[in-house]
Amino acid sequence: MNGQPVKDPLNRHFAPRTTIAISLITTLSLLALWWLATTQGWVKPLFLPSPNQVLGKTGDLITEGFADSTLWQHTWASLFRVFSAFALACLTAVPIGILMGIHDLAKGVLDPVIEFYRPLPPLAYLPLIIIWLGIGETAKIVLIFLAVFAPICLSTRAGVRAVAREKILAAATLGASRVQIIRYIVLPGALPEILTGMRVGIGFGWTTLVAAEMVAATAGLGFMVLNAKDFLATDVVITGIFVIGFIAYGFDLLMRGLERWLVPWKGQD
Amino acid sequence: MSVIEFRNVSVVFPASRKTPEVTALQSIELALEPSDFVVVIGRSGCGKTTLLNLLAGFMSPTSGSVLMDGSPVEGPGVDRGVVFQKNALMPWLDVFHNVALGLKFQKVPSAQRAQRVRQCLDWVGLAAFADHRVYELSGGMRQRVGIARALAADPKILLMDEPLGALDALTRESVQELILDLWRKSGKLVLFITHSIEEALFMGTKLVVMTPRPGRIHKIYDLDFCHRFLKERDSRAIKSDPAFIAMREEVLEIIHPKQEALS
Repeated sequence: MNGQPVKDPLNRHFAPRTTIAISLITTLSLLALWWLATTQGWVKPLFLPSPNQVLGKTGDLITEGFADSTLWQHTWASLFRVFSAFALACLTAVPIGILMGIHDLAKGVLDPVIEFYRPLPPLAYLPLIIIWLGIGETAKIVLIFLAVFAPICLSTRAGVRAVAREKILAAATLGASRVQIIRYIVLPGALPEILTGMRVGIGFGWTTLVAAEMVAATAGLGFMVLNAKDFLATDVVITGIFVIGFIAYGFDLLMRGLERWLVPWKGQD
Repeated sequence: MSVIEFRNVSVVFPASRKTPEVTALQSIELALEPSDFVVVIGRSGCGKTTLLNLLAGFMSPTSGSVLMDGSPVEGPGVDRGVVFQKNALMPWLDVFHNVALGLKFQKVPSAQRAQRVRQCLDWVGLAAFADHRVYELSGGMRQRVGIARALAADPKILLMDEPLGALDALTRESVQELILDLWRKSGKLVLFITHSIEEALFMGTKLVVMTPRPGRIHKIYDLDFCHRFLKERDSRAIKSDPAFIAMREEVLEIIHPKQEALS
């Protein structure tokens, strides 16, 4: 073997730095392809405007705006919707998930409801929400809330169930009350999965944003994209997609950092 | 008076769709005196962990009664500390806060709490590791944290469910000796479950040998090897003593009869 370590059978031997380099090369290649395809006239600008044109349009969107709002106003409207829904979902889904994890009655009652609506496409129940709640801000936030709620609730429940029985029994022999066991053992024990649920949940939130802004919105990235489609403003559509993508990705990185900081023991127990 | 009494205790796990009915314990009679070091040994499925679970209050007998100081055991309590084989430490807390857990639950003032935790960590030789994360420790150190945590709550009896089962041989011996020292220092009644005959003979003052299907107490021995160790501090001399070896063969014959071992 010449003193070399044995190769991992799955070949998982990329150093983090190598992976980052590969990702960077992929990104740059795609951008280059985009640039080439548009400048060489392989694709008509109507279908795919050039990077330069999109960048210029982004500048226009920031200064002049589109559909009566600047890019910042659209972004802010969407951020507000997604994060209000996310905050609301965290505040409700975590306690309900814990309840479902420790109480069979709660699990029995709530499981069919959540499991039924969870796989439904938000567009399918959007009409119902509009009939019930109208076309205002509430309906939009509720639609996103529903998409975020299920993954947080279900992973909280799974996290609670995954807390080792020994930990709970140990706490009981140390004199912990029911409330103390939940507060000091179950909640921290389930935290890794709760955070994963939040990360997955906010992803669903962004996915649902465009659906939420389909009806009676006057600002928002989803609205901007849909509206631009009506005018065949492909450059605006692409800018909108990029902004949503960057925000969602940035928040994902933030959540991963939060995980490393809050639960450094994840997977080490 | 006996601290602990098992009176005609039976535990039957009812049949489920996949498994038939199992008699985990049948007609157990056992009385434990204060400051006994009771070791329970037997093959897997002989009911030794069930015995400990009853005493810890993690389950209740199907029939008969388990008494502590004359009254029936009802649920877990701080008078019975438990050391588990694994998974029982909280990885989100450092060593200090793991040991302090019981005192925190009982709302002991923090100054008093800190003093008690330091003392217990000192006993198990981990005073220098108070601010370490538990997942950074070796298996032997984790078990010592578990022991310190149980001691910190100052229980009347200490229940240990194969606490050394996952440790390597050398670490295991050093923790065995530590537990004996702590037992002598604290004078607490210890109930210790193991499947290692050497460990059982070396540590116990009373050895309960159990046999499976149904789980029953086959024989109870009185032992003295641990006192000899605490006096002479030479575990190798004890473990190679002909009396120790003869005893080991006798117990082995009960747990693992020769003709059965062949089949």
